[in-house]
Amino acid sequence: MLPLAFFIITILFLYCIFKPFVGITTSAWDIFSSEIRSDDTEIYNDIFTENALLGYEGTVKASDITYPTFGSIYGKIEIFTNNTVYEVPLVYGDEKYTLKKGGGQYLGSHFPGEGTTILVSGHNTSYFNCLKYTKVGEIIEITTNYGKYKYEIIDISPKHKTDKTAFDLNAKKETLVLYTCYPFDAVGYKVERYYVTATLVSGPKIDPYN
Amino acid sequence: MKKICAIVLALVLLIVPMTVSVSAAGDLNANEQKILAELRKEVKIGDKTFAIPAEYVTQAENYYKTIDINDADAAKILDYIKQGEDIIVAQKITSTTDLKVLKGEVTSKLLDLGKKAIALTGGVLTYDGKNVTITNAAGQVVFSAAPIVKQTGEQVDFTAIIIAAVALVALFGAAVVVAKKKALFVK
Repeated sequence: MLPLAFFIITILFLYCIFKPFVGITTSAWDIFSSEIRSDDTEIYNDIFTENALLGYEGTVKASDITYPTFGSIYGKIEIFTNNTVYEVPLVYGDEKYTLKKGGGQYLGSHFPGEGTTILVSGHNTSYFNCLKYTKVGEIIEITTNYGKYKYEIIDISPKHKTDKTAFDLNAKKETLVLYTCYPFDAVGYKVERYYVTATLVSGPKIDPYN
Repeated sequence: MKKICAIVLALVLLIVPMTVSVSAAGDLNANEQKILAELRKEVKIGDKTFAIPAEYVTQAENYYKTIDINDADAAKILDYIKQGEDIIVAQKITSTTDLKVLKGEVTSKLLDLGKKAIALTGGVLTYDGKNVTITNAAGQVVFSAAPIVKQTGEQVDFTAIIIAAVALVALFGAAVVVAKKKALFVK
């Protein structure tokens, strides 16, 4: 019995000791391994030029827009908080490698100007670490090649990753939802997400049929 | 259920690369609108309805913004959707929960069709037993059935370290037992 008890206690002990280092090590390896995968980066086609067709008003024809393909940077997110403007590239696609480039838009969500939900995720250790400073009422801006968009933060809340009340992809109102893993300072796998929800203040509408 | 929806939609997307024009426009033409309307339509299965998740349809919509679909190809696509619907309805399913029982059979039928179609386009359909992913001829992802909410912190896999720890401890434990049996400990 004694060896068995010793065996179990030692496993628990080793688990507790190594736990904090595992996340850091694997993250470092992730960064390294993703950087050396040139085959992934070669197919990305960034289209953002910072020369928006329109400002914060008007209507833009969809036929005048060049839509992004997976992995391409097509805009810029500016988060005005903590007396700083945090700039985050806006990437189409939210897979592991696209999140290395910036905030990744979920393929099944919409684009700014389409009047519904834009869902963007980002790493809590880099691009979206600044979300922890945000407050209700602060402004987030998105600049694309076709227009500029201003959103006001209306809600900030951590929720479980399976919580279906966190966002509505079919919302009839244009809503920008940024999220990252939560808590910010914890290492390892996290089941909670930190959601920052903002509604459109101004920005050109897209006419999808012209 | 979600896998089946993903595959049905996958079949639709697979045929689309054949219709890509060089000067693809961002607007949705009449053909694309017709296809999207069909994708959003609920199919009656017994007393329940079968619908493709909205986020999957949006992925198709976003993809259509980067291509143009002509009349002839739209007709093929709509026929393809119908075939997908027929496969599901032909299983004599009376409720959506029944789909879970038959999903293996339905999945393989739809996958076979999908793989044949994508092979013609030069693209690749990947089904890893959990998710369906489609990439176009350029290798870019155009559809993914992965969960909506992603892991944005560290990716952690404890497996290797736990195995190493277990092996170490087992070795040490065994050594102690053997040492005791052989009376190797000096008092």
